[in-house]
Amino acid sequence: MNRKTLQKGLEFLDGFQTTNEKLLAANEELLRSQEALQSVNSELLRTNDDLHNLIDSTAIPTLILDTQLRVRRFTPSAHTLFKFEDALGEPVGALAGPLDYARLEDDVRKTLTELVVVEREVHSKDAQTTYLMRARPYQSSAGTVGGAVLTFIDITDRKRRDVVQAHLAAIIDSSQDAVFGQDIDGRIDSWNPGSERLTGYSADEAIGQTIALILSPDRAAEATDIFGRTRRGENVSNYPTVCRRKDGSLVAIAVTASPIVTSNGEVAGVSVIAQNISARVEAERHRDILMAELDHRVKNTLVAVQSIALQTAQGTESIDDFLSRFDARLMALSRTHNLLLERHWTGASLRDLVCLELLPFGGEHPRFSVTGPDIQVSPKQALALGLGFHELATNAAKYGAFATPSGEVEVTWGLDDTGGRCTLWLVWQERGGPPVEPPARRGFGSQLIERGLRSELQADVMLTFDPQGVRFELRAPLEELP
Amino acid sequence: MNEFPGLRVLLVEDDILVSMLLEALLANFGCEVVGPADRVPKGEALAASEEIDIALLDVNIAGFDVYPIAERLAARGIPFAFVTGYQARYPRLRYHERPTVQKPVDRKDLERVIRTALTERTTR
Repeated sequence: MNRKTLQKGLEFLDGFQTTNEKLLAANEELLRSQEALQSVNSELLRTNDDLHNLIDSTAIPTLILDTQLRVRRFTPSAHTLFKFEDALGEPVGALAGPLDYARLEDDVRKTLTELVVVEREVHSKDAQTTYLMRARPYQSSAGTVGGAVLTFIDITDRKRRDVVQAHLAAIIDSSQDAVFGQDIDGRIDSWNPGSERLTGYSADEAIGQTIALILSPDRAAEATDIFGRTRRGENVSNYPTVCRRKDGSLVAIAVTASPIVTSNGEVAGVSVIAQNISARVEAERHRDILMAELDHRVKNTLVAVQSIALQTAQGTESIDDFLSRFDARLMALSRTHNLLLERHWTGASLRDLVCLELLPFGGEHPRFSVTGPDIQVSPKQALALGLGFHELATNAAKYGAFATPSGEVEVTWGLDDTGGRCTLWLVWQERGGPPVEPPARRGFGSQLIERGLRSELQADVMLTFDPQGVRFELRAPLEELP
Repeated sequence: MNEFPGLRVLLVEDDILVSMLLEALLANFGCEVVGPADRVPKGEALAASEEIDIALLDVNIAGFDVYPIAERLAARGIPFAFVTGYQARYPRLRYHERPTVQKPVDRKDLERVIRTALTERTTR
């Protein structure tokens, strides 16, 4: 072999070796690329699995549509919702059967053309279920719009809760009572119109304040107590206290407070109902006053009867004598009560008082005359006058004008205005009876007439036993009259 | 009869029937009635000037509180008791610790109240 040939052969070998090395390097490169591709591929497979699992497991009915509004993919729950056999490739408009949703295609088109998310509340045709439909454009990785994704979220429970809540809110809003809430720190966090009516504070003024805002300052300890007890989970029912309104006026209220307990059993706040009980309190007070007044009158009547019995017993000759005189006085007292009752115990007419005691002695021919203007006297004065006239009339029957067939009694009264002071005068004059003799002692009757009328009417009274007939005179300042 | 001979009792009562009843009961006890006063000023004058051992006061005299009379009696150290038709559950604001005779009047109750008042006087 010549040297030249050998040289060429060596060069060839060198070149071959270089090429071989390059090939080996390229081969290694290819192997590495293949590994990378396998890795990408397995990543893609896993992602694909993830998406499948996600689609299969989601409870949200979901439809993926192509640009022609045909179903390209759907979740199993969509299958349940739309009740289709096989939706793939079907136009979405054909699926809407179970829903009361004629505008489904319009909404999807809007998403596709305007590239916006469209949301709509959709009801099932049986009106039992409400969905929140959300249509959004399907964005492909190339940046183009490949269709639309439709989801249907069941919001029936939420809607029902909203309706219930709206009902409750309406009830609370229309309540005449103050209804408000307090947070766990005692700050007012809700305030119905009733609260504003009761307290005068608006919701803006009250929210954030404590209940001390509306309680009278001396009730601060009570407020703390009510809140503390309720926070510990107790109910406070109809606790009577006093509200101080914005204008400073006070009003009786009954407070009912309950803890607001969360589903995990924690007290999250306190609900308070405050009821205006001023009318009830006023009625109770009025009843107490009436009861006390009734008690007082009954006791006064009983003591009057006790006194009449004792006085009648003194100087009585027999039980029969006592009973007839006691009865007569009791009846006189009762007649005056009747007169007062007719006028709701506000007073009685002087004429009625006189006539009631004289009428039993009228017989067939009137034997008395009664002349005077209409004058009202107070209940106490009426009781004194009634008993006084009774004593005069019974005395007349026994010893005076009514003891003979021809005797007469004349009662006159009137008003005098002397120097600006008005005076009531009254004269009881008997005539035609037997000659009158002064009694040996002033008995109960005389004392009733003289002392009773003098005291009750602050009157000057004079009882004279004139032989021609008994005369009784009375002058009373009218200030003492009602 | 004659439980308190010569005892001078100021009587303040505007109702003639009640007054006459108490006068009769007091007379029966042997007491001497001072008054009776049927108006507050008259009672005040008697309470300030008369020789009085004890006083019986109606709470309301012709529409006015009897307290001015009670104050004069208290100032003189004279014991007094009230006569009232009101139950104890409607308490008087002042002098609520004073003994009280209810209407209608129980004779024994009146005697007991006078005796109590007298004990106060002697222990003063």
